[in-house]
Amino acid sequence: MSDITNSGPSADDDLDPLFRRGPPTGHAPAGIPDLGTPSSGSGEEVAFAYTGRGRDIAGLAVQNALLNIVTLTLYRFWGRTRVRRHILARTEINDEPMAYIGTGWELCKGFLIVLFGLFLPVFLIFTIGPYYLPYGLIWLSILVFEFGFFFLINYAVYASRRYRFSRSTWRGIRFGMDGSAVEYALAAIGFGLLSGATLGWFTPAAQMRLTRRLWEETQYGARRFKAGAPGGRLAAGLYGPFAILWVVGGGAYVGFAVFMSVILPTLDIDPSIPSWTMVLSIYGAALGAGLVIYLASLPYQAALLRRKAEIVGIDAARFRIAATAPGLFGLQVVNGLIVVFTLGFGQPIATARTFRYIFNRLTSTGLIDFDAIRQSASTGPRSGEGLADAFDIGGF
Amino acid sequence: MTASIDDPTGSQDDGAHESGAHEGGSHDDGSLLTGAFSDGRTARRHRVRLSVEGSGEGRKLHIAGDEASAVWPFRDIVLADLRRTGAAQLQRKGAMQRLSLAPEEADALRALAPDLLRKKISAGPIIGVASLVGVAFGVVAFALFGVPMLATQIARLTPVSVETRLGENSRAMIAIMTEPCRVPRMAQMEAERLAYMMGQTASARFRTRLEFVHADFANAFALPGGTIVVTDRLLAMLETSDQFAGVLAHETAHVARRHVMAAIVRQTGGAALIDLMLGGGSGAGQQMVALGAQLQSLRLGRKAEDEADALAIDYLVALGADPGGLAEFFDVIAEETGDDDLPFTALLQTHPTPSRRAEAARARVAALGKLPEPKLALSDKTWEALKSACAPEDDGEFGDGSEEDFDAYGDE
Repeated sequence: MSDITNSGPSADDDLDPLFRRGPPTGHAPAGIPDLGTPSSGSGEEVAFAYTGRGRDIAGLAVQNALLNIVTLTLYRFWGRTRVRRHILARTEINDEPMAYIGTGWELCKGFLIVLFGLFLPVFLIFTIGPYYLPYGLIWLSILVFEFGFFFLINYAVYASRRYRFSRSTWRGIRFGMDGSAVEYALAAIGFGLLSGATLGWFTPAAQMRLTRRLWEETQYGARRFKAGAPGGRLAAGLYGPFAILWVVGGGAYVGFAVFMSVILPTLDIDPSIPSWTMVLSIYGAALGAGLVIYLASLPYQAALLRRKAEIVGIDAARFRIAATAPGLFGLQVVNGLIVVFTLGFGQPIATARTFRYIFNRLTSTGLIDFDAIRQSASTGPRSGEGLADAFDIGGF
Repeated sequence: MTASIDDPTGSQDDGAHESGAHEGGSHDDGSLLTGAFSDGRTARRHRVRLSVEGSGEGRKLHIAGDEASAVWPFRDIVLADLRRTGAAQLQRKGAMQRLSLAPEEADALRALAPDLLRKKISAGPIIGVASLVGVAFGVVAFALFGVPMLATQIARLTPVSVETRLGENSRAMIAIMTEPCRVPRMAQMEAERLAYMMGQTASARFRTRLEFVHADFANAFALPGGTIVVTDRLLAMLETSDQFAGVLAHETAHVARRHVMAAIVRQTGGAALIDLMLGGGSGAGQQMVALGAQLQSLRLGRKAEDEADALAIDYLVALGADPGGLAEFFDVIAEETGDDDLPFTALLQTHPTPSRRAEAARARVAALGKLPEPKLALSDKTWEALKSACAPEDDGEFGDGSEEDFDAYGDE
């Protein structure tokens, strides 16, 4: 574990003599939070670490799985909350853990609100509507629904992040967001259309713009994060890796299409009789194309993660994350295997591994004046994530 | 300075200057009663000394630093986190204040107040989980048993006009998928007359109508609002007009008893309830519940079929037609599909097995004793006209007994 507090401007000699009387003095042994440095007022650098291990959370994952089964999944809100508590308590900033203060009941309330306020009416319109409504109206409502669905998904992304941040604290100070989920969702739709119109080439710029928006609207206490590209384009460094994805991934996609429409018919297989040759060649081709697309996406994924960290700052601190394509590959492949072989019940382990990957590679330079950061008056939304739960949006 | 922002009572205000009077700081035995305190107002970390005052239920933890202090009653202190290393996080219930203890600090405090740093076992979570289990099984039980019972009632109470409108929309959807048969006017009228009389006999609240369509499956089904649809492939399977009358009587029973309406209410209501409770997701638990719901829905469907089979015979007898036609029709299906009478597959079927239905129909007819000589349901001329006007367009492929031809046999 890093011993970063001692590299700050305040050194041991600033200590009140009171605190030096008993053991231990000076540096704490490894693995124990170093409590030797009080805040000095001139600011601190920050260092991050994830101190949990995969197997720590396995017990919790098993408990949650069993409780989800006996409650026919109703336990999920409380289970998710416990996972968040566990993970944030092991996510440390300057050797002091973060804390998650949300409750399962808040998530459950959010679910009930969305259930009765949105899903039930929509469900009624779409199951009973077709029997009663005139034809034209049905088509119109389907169109509205398609647009609405895309809107709601993006709305949910924002709203669930806002909820999670408002329930995350460090040193007793809440994080929070104060922007508009509606504006975010509309921006995401606009960017989505632009990305489509440019055959995908606007995607990196769109993703960075959305990231910038999210962080500009994020606060730690009453202190706002900053986001932007000092002296450069927002998506600087992303277009090279994106070109790899576009060309190689696009090639794999076209290759698969050609295989299905041109090569497969020449293979002399009777398509009306399911045969192993048929099944294996189709699935093999799909798997091969998928694998190529995935591998081609890794450099872009890593560059995106690095760039997202670079554009964010708070006070004088800036961030970097040492994400690499091979690193992400290892993380995602193992996570995928864990989730698949546990029938989804191992998701908390995968989430913890992702946290470990990110927070053990995240570094910061520049000082943050924590003494001057006050608690924000806003306590955030009162209920959480109904939409995100309904749409099964990961988050964590 | 005191830390009172999150404390509604402001009770810790008195803590700042008194703490020196309590036992605290470094002890003679070398233990360290200190910690790092966040007062919930700023992100500053305060080094504080700790001391315990009072006794029993009224004990309080005094937290005293140079610029922040607080007094926490023991009953309000929550152990937020206790790590394997021994490090601990305490917080005051309902407040943002936090006290971080290094392992040796936690040990020192434990010596003075062991209960503060022990994980408390409370009945709360057990009661909570038990309630969740209760709610979950309550919802499922209601969806599986309550909704079906209500569905029959709701269907009976649904205004005829509403069900008729529902039927219009169903017909519009059927019209997209099928092509109507060009049945000669006289034949159509005679068949409609039979359907009408059947409806009168059944005291159906709808006027029963008949539609013959080309479709790539053999089926006859009742739509909401009294329309009965018969496909060309089913017609081709029927050998006599008595068998046709049997099919018609069965469908008329569905119309009269509003089975279709009840099924719609049941399926939308019950399935919706369960789906919504499960909230998407695809875990093993969800799948099991969903499968159970499906089996229950099929079971209720088969119950409605049995009821319609029984009523059909009554109608046929009342009209003076041959009630044996229904059993013969089941024989035809049994022969074409081959019965699969294994108990497991029976669970998965939309209808009871045809050979059992034939058996049940024969038993019921036999129980009626000697019946007067039946009259023909339709004239031979009409029956021939119907069959030729509504013959499957691609005869060659039909009748090879393949599963596809019959997978939808029977009715809704």
